[in-house]
Amino acid sequence: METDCIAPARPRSRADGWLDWVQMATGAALALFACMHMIFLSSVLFGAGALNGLSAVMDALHLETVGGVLIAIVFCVHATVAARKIPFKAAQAATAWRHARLLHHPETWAWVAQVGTAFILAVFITIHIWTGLTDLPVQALKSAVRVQHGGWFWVFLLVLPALALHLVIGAWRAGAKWGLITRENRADITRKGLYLLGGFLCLSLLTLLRFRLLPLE
Amino acid sequence: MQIIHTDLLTIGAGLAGERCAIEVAGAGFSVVCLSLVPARRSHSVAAQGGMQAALGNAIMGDGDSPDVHFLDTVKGSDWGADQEVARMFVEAAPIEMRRLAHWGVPWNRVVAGMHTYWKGGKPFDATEKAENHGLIHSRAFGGTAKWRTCYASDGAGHAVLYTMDNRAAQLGVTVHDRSEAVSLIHDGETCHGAIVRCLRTGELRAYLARATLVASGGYGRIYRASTNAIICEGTGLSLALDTGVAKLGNMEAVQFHPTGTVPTDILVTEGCRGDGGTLLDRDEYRFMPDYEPDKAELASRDVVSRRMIEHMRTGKGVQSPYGEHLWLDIRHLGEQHIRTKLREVDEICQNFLGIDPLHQLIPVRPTQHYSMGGVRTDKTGAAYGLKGLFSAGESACWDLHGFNRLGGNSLAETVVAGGIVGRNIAEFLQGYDTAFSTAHVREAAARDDARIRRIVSGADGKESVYAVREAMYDILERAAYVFRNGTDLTWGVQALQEVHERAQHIGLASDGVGANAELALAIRMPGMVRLALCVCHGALMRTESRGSHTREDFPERNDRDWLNRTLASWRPGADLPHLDYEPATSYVELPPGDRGYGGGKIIPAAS
Amino acid sequence: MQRSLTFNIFRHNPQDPASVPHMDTYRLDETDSMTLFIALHRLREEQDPSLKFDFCCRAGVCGSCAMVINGRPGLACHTKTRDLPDTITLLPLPVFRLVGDLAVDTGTWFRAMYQRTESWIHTRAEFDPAAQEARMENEVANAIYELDRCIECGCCVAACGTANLRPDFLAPAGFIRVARFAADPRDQRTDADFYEIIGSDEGIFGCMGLLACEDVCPKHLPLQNQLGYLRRKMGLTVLKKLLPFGG
Ligand SMILES: Cc1cc2nc3c(=O)[nH]c(=O)nc-3n(C[C@H](O)[C@H](O)[C@H](O)COP(=O)(O)OP(=O)(O)OC[C@H]3O[C@@H](n4cnc5c(N)ncnc54)[C@H](O)[C@@H]3O)c2cc1C
Ligand code: HEM
Ligand code: HEM
Ligand code: SF4
Ligand code: F3S
Ligand code: FES
Repeated sequence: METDCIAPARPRSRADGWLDWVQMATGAALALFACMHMIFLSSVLFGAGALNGLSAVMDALHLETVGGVLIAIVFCVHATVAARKIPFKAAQAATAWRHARLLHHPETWAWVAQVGTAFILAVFITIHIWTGLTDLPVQALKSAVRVQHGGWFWVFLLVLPALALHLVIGAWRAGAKWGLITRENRADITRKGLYLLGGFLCLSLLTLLRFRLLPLE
Repeated sequence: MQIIHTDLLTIGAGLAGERCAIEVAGAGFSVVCLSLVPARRSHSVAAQGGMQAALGNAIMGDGDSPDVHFLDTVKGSDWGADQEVARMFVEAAPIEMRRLAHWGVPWNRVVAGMHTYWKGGKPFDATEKAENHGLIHSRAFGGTAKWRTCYASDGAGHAVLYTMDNRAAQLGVTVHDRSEAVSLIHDGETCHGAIVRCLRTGELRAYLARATLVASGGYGRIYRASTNAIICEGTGLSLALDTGVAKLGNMEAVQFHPTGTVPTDILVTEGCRGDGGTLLDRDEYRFMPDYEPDKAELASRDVVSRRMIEHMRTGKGVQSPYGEHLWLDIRHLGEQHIRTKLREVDEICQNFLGIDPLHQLIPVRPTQHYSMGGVRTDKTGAAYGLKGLFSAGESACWDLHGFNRLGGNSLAETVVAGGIVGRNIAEFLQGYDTAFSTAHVREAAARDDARIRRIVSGADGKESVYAVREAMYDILERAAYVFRNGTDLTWGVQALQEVHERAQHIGLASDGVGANAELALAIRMPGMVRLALCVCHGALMRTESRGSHTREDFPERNDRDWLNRTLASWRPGADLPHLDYEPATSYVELPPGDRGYGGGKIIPAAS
Repeated sequence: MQRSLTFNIFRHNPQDPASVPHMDTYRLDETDSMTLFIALHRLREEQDPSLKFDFCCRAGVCGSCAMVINGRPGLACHTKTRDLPDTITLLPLPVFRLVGDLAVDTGTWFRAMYQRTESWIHTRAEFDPAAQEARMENEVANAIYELDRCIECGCCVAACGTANLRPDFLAPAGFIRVARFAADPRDQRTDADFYEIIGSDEGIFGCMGLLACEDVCPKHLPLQNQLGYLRRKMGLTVLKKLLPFGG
């Protein structure tokens, strides 16, 4: 007679509770930052001067250095903590993939998308933060050069949608996990999330185009 | 072969089995429960309506007492019940309901103030007493003088079974699911446990137990159209019958529920009628008041079933591809009521019939529903004929229900009898020793093993198990349904004997390896046919109409000759059950009289 | 018009060493009001008696018959063929151990779950047979019942990505069980007690908010809302532990 059963629970751990908070908080902080960052950069739509002006103000307040380092740390923490949830083993990844394909369930696909985009973000945002932080203060021309001649245009073309997806899905996920998204408001919030996704994408793509087309003199 | 030792083996982990197990485990004995399915999937889970207990908290149950409950029960049984048992039951029921509340059942509670209830399709207002606020509530059920049925929304069986299984888990009761007892180990005097077949692997195991309890539920599935779960095939009863010494009581007493849906035979709860649902015919005419001016749709279920068939016979049934049926109308109960209080019913209509009961009529017909018959026990739950064998719940003939069970009494019986029989078993186990003969175990296992091998290899023939079952269905449907008569029953007994012979020659079409359903059915089939024969033969012999047993050729209840209980046993090699009779009750509190409904003449007992 | 249905059914008998997992195809003419219960039984009785699947109540209340129907876990007995396309693919529930073909061993899984969640009322009160029952508000009783309605079909477990990835995950069915006792005033366990059970990544913090559980539950249990509730409750419990005066 077979009597084996699912593995017994590990004794409770305070660490897991904390890590869960940390994951959500860092994710939320990054998401907030990314939105601000986007709005900040989009000032370039009004011309290089607008961006440079804003940047000068922030730099004078040391926001760019201090904030930049802080966000770099948050980014690292988030990546480390959230990576616990990623099925790295081949067999696990295969299970996750098979499961998502079988289920026809948008929210499960959304999670797969979030994990996929996490890899893109891990690689490129790391490099990007490095480039950004070593070349402060932010100035429209420096960026335009990077975008027009440094190959960053194509990188951002990949990173932008990845970020937008990861961010919006992440925010939605945090809401779902913590019960801000309920059975009653789920459809509504999901719709709003899609608007946010679209808005974020439009704004950042326009910004990118602007950098691309910004006269270099 | 694996051998498992335990103090108590319960064959069945439904409400009755687990309630006993809890009592015995609580007294410090080891208990193993067997079940065909995970314990919580046992058929008890399907009961929607509730359990009767004279708590008298609800305003419509005001003035209720065990005495009134006793009268309802004995009248309902058409004086077939053992009145001593009925008395024990009604006294213990309120305590059991409270105990269940203590264990966690979310019974609905009385809310003080004015409420609108339904009766006979009409709303009325009643004011619940402030001093009863928060106590266990009750609702109406057919055949009762007071509103007495404790309920948990529309899932009393679910709520109670889950609580019971929780309690069993808490006490460390072991449940071996997907395990089917296939024979009892006994020496003709004492029962020593059972040979059990694992439904995962097909292996045989032996369970040696000082006490064995049959709590395997009903045998409704010997009928084609039954509201019972498909596992209710009466196997527990047939293994008791196969000992040759244990006896089955009142097997001909089979209850039909008025409102099984067509075509899937799913029960829609009596609560529908209790709450004011009505029955309509092809002209959407409400006919029940014509037959039963007083109670109309709320008359006891055998009466309603019979009236429905009677009415269909006048040509007023609705024709459908699945046969004739009538309509149940709950549209007037309103959206709020249907979608909340009757949600289970609502879901059944939407999910299984594809109709919306808010706007459409529900197709219903009388369908097999409850088996009053079972392993005959004394009032302590000890089976006749074999020491160490007990029975409780629907599989037992304890005999609370006589020839007709009151709605809500059976679920209550499982926990009340479970408690009483459990205590008795614990007492029995105290200081009881028995020697297990390895020879008996080996013999029993070898016999079962050989039988199974012959079925798999087709050594005895190539009869299809499904064909044999169809044949049994056809016969019972004609001979032993709501109405019975001598001609059909005589034919039925004979035809079933032929089917019984065919059942000895079943051979598999598949390989029979592992969790093979064809083999599992093939193993049960001969036993099921024997149960069918007990029903048919008992019904043929009983030349009167009592409770749910209705003979067209003997329409009167005959207290002079038949105020007794049929006892069926099966002697080795026989092709018919051996029948004898015992008085219905030796303790008489309520002398036989008129039930007050159902009509019919009574031939009084010679005093 | 009557349709001819094609069934692609997963086949594997773990008890037969020669058996390899594969799909078999069957054809059946559709009839009125046909459910998968009717269809599968006809297939077994008319075409292939070795087919393995579980049904019990056939009325959507016992939870036996869950399987993956065209990709979605659901109860076969309350799935009407008329709601499905001509081709129906049936797979056993993942996560649970396979018994054979479409039948899986939910019983063992759920029993382990009861032990982990200690799925019973924890109280120091003794039952007094002579006393009247303790009072309870009807609303409370109804609220408990709403959470008690889980039929342990396993659909939510099978649909949950996390449960598929980690076999030690308590899974939505386990959480709803905890929520049921947390809502019951008769159960004297505190948040800290519940934290012992679900305060880990195998517990509520493992849930990734996929909400497939919510979407497949045939009994429409309020999984999403209760999971969020439990996470907040457990999240606050862990926060409180940091505070000097916290519980
Ligand atoms: C649809 C429906 C609704 C009902 N509603 C009500 C109601 O509202 N009120 C009321 O009072 N009554 C109601 N009843 C009747 C009541 O539900 C049953 O009489 C009662 O639940 C029987 O309980 P039990 O414990 O005796 O058997 P069950 O709950 O049927 O349990 C039988 C157990 O035996 C096991 N078993 C069987 N054979 C074997 C074997 N050979 N080996 C091992 N295990 C075996 C099964 O797996 C199961 O665990 C209803 C019945 C039906 C069909
Ligand atoms: C190295 C880069 C990153 C990795 C590997 C990563 C990984 C992940 C993963 C796997 C999750 C899902 C966790 C779960 O479901 O439990 C997640 C959640 C989240 N991520 Fe990221 N992420 C990265 C960067 C970012 C960035 C740049 C942002 C912000 C723009 C972000 C915002 C979020 C948010 C808001 C959540 C939801 C938090 C939660 O559910 O608790 N992530 N991340
Ligand atoms: C740490 C400090 C950071 C600095 C100083 C910084 C600075 C900049 C600058 C100057 C640009 C313009 C393009 C360029 O110069 O390459 C830019 C673009 C961008 N940054 Fe950052 N960044 C930082 C962190 C981040 C982080 C953490 C993210 C991810 C969440 C991010 C996402 C992006 C994206 C997506 C773009 C492209 C925007 C577009 O073209 O619309 N950056 N950043
Ligand atoms: S929560 Fe729903 S899906 Fe999950 S086991 Fe219970 S009833 Fe099934
Ligand atoms: S699907 Fe699984 S991850 Fe959470 S929301 Fe449901 S338990
Ligand atoms: S058979 Fe019981 S839920 Fe489907």
